[in-house]
Amino acid sequence: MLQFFDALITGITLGGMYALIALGLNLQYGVARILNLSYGEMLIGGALLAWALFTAHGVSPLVGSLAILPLAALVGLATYRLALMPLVRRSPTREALEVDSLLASFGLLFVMQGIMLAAVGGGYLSYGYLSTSVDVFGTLIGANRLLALAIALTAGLLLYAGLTRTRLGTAVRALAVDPVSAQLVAVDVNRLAGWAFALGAVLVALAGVLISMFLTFSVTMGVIFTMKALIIIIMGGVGNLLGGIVAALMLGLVESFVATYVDPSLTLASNYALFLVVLLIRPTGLFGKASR
Amino acid sequence: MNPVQKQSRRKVLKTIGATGALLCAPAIVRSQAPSTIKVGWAISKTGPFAGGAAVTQWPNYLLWIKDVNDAGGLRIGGRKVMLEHVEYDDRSQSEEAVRACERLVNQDKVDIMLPPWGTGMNLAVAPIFHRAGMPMMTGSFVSDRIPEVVKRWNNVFVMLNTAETYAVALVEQLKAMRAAGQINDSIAMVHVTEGFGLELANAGRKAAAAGGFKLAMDRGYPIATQDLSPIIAEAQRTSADTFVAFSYPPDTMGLTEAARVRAYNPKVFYSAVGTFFPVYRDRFKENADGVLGIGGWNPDSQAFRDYIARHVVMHKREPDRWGASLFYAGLQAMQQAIEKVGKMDNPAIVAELSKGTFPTIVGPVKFRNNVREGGWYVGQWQDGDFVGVGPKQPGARAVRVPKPAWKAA
Repeated sequence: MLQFFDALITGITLGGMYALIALGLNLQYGVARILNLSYGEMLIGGALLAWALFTAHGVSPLVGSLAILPLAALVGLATYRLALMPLVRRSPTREALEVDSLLASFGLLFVMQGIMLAAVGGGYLSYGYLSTSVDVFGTLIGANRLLALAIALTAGLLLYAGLTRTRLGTAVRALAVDPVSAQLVAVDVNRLAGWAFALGAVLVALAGVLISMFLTFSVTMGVIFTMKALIIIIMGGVGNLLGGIVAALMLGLVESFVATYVDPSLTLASNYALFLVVLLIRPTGLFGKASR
Repeated sequence: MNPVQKQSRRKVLKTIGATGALLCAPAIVRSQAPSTIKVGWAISKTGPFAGGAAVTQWPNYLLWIKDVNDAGGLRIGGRKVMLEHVEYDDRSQSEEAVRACERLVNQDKVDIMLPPWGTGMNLAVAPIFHRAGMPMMTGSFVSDRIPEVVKRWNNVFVMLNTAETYAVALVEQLKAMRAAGQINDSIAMVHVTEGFGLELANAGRKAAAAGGFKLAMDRGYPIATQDLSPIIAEAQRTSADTFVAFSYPPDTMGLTEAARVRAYNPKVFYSAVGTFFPVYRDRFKENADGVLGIGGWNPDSQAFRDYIARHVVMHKREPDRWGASLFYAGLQAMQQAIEKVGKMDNPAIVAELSKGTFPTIVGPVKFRNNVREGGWYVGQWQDGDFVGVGPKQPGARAVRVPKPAWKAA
């Protein structure tokens, strides 16, 4: 029984971390329609700044994020305005924009990675913050992982409420569903998409800050997070924040239970198997367009 | 395609020019040593291998070149010749590494080529080194098939050893602890399901069985696993006194962190690649003390201390306590072989390397069947440094068991 709770609690915290990773991409891809391949680099960017502030100046990552998150918003907005807006303007369809943004952000990936490599090199970076053990129903979990879970759930639910309960949120959803028709009801599509992209950048930087507290990372590791985030939002239904959280928790639980009861070497395979099964049954994801 | 064509056209022009100059010059010039020696390498500056390469490998290439040049250059036939270098990023892809090495040989015409990062990459480019006849001084090439490889390519020199060597040395340590009544005969063993991790696990299984140990747990996990708690939890449920992880750097850190958070305190905690990185101590501070790992060094060695100091001056950080120094020592051996031969005559340099003994920062280096004899196989963090504890040799520290319990961070 203890073993079961162990697996359950580990799975939920891991799922929370995955949910956190995917939140920002859900806004960027689901709403702003930018398939951002440099997403993982943005995450590493947040992690790197938190690491630098902590190791060089002893600034707590939580305090540091007061500076990092606004910076991420600015960088996100600037990236959208300068690099992506021209693509948005000239793309006739949503599909065309996806392909264009994919290529552009692929380039961005190397620019960001190059800057970070030049700044700190390719070595492994690691520090510990809030790594005291917390007893959760007999299972010891790092406080930092619990914090990541709590923030993922809070941010996810707040965003979900904002999108479904407010006027601005309704406009954002209209934009996600059909950007052309949204203009007919006086939604400033480009401005709103820019904000959604910037908010996505803030969330991914936040994920980076939190993850840096417990994961060892290097500046070339971004692609791992991009892949994970993509799987989660496609599985949950693109643009659906609640779906993303559910998918992330499912992945975390499957990984933890397979590792505990079957074999840890099958965790990756079981994650992809779950992804496949979900897509076979619901091609638009768990909470895809059909259910919206 | 265009830049490449342009490049080669320029190369052709250069070659024509150089040939012309040579023809005009008196014959005596041609027989003299070259004015500079070109050193080249392809290595992972981006992609999944970039982390390991940056900690262990290319900083030592640069440091060696700097040290040689600071001393006036490489002594060739009574003259000192300065080194210059060319570097390519192989983006952690073996095809890129192969292409870049071909280019180094055919277009850049390097005099000395240094290998890329990792076993797979080294295997991929070994035929190019062999075709060019150049000595290949590897420091991140490790496999149980080393004997076959060096038989096929006699220009390959290996500073590391077979996975079996490391696993057997670890089990020897465990046997001594068991004989002293410090641990029981049960081991919880995990490994990363990737190259060296798999080989170490295979060798470890055999060595443990031969040593009369039983495996209470024997699990693999994929690389880049982001939460290793379930693995530590399973180890915790066993009654094994010894935890052995044949791990790679990120999971070495992850396993240690999970063990600490879950208050898993086996009497012996061993992790493989990454344990000897300075970042391990920076991350875990006094909690690192007592952790066993692969590699190690002799803290009594003044040459090694000086090397660390030079590395810090050049790269603003310490070298790791295993692979880094071996790269540097391998290059020192190659340098001495070249100076002894007195010209850039690759077959003669290879022959000299296979028979000579070379004083280096890690002590005298001698190759038997192209594999370095001796070295440190098991190390332990003791009072803030990762020292060699096995095999028994001058400078070896006594191993400390049991590992102190993790302290709260």
